[in-house]
Amino acid sequence: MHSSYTPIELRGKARHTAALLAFGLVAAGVAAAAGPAAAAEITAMVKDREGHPIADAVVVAVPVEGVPRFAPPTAREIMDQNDQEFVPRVKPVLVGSSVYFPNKDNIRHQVYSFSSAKSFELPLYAGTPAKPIVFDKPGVVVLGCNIHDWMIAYIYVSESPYFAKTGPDGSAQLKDLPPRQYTVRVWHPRLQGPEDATRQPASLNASLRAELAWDLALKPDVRVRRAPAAGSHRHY
Amino acid sequence: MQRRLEASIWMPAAVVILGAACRADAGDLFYGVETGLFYDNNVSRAQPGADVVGDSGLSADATLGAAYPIGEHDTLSLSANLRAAKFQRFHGLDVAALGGTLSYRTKFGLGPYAPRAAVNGFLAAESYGNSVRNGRRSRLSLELGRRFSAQWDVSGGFAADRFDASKVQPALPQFSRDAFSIQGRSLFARAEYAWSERWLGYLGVSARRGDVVSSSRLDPEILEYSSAVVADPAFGPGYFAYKLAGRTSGASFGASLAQSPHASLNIGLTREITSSQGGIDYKSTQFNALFIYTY
Repeated sequence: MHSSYTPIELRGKARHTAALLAFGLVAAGVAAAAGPAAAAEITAMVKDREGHPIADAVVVAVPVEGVPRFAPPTAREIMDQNDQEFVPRVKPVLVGSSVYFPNKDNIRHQVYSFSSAKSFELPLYAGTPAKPIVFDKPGVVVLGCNIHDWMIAYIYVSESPYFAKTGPDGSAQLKDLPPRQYTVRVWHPRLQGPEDATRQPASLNASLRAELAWDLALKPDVRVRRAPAAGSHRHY
Repeated sequence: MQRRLEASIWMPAAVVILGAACRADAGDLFYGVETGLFYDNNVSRAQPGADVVGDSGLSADATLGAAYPIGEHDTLSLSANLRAAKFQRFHGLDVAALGGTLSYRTKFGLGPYAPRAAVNGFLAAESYGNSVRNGRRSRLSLELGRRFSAQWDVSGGFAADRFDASKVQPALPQFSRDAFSIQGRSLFARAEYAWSERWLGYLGVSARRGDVVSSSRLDPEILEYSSAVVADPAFGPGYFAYKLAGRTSGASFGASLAQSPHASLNIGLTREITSSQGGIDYKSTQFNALFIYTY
């Protein structure tokens, strides 16, 4: 899984001399003859301290010289509610993305977040709200449902267009990266310690491929229990 | 067991069921079933001695309801409930009950840690193997609760309960025979701790003040403090049910093991100690093992 956003390179002002123009034309001709510029990729493997693969970890690559300017994301991002759970549990999006919250259950949900990256509430609803929620600030947004306390999910709002989420095998691939220096970090809902502590450098100048691995310390998976218990209060 | 209940007893529960069914399209449906085993070491609620008898049995419970949001954080729900218990020895205690619950719930804010409150009204018609016990049970409760973390949830409240026997025996001189019509008030509290995603344990306490029914052979001492007495054939000839004013303290604990997001296996133990007028005290210990499925 990788992002589909197309970066637009920042360009400084240049003095256009005839000599430079000529050189540029020649260089462009050589490049065209050689084919398109090769893209780089990062293969990430995320495991826990016991060596078990970690799914739903978000791997983000940030160019060392800064995040490139990118076109506003236009993809229709979806966070489903199905069988009284959010699907997916972790969803990485690019900052500025619009996320819809369709309710596929035959009961109502009340989705909210207290997170500083995005605080919002969708009053009790069925179906799909007409307007999406725009996530315009990088960070982790924790979602909940005020009716079903066990429902929890995370929207990871990335400032960089280069990100991917690990699958069940703990691996993720970030493709179509411009060849340059990156700092790569990992986030997971159960990550113990700050996300910045996971940073690793990746140089994609000389080599167009990099393989990175993490073994993360995870917190216990503590969620509000969903299953019924004898004598316990019902949600209705 | 009496196969047919009086129409007058069924009526309130039937209204609740029909109401829930008719309005189900506007609400969020929910349902649940519970089934399991139980054991009670003093089903007669008799003083320590020869009249104390224990019994075990099977129980089943089914609930169907609909919830209606009536505000940003408020929900009104209506549910119908069918319950049955079958005893191994004392078939006079076998019971089938049809009831309904009307609940108003509110949450004081957003999120799992917002305090909550609920007012529940419960009404059921109960039919026993021994028809002298038949009647209508009602309970009104106010419950406050709060989750303090993903592991801890604490709740407590107040309840008023009442049971109106449907077949009131004619009174004898100086003696009422309406022994099974009782009422009381209670306070209760419960703490739950989920020590993993699957395992949950709970501890509950309760204190009730009001009428209690103790069954034993004829006993002049108990008779002196009883406000009503009636023959209780559920435990055999010569047994009488005595209505007394008493206080009951209860403590319970148990564990629940999740089998899926919708199902769990549960075991629980409850210990109750009742002190009534004239130093007439009795104790009981109840064990149950339940499978619960809800949606």
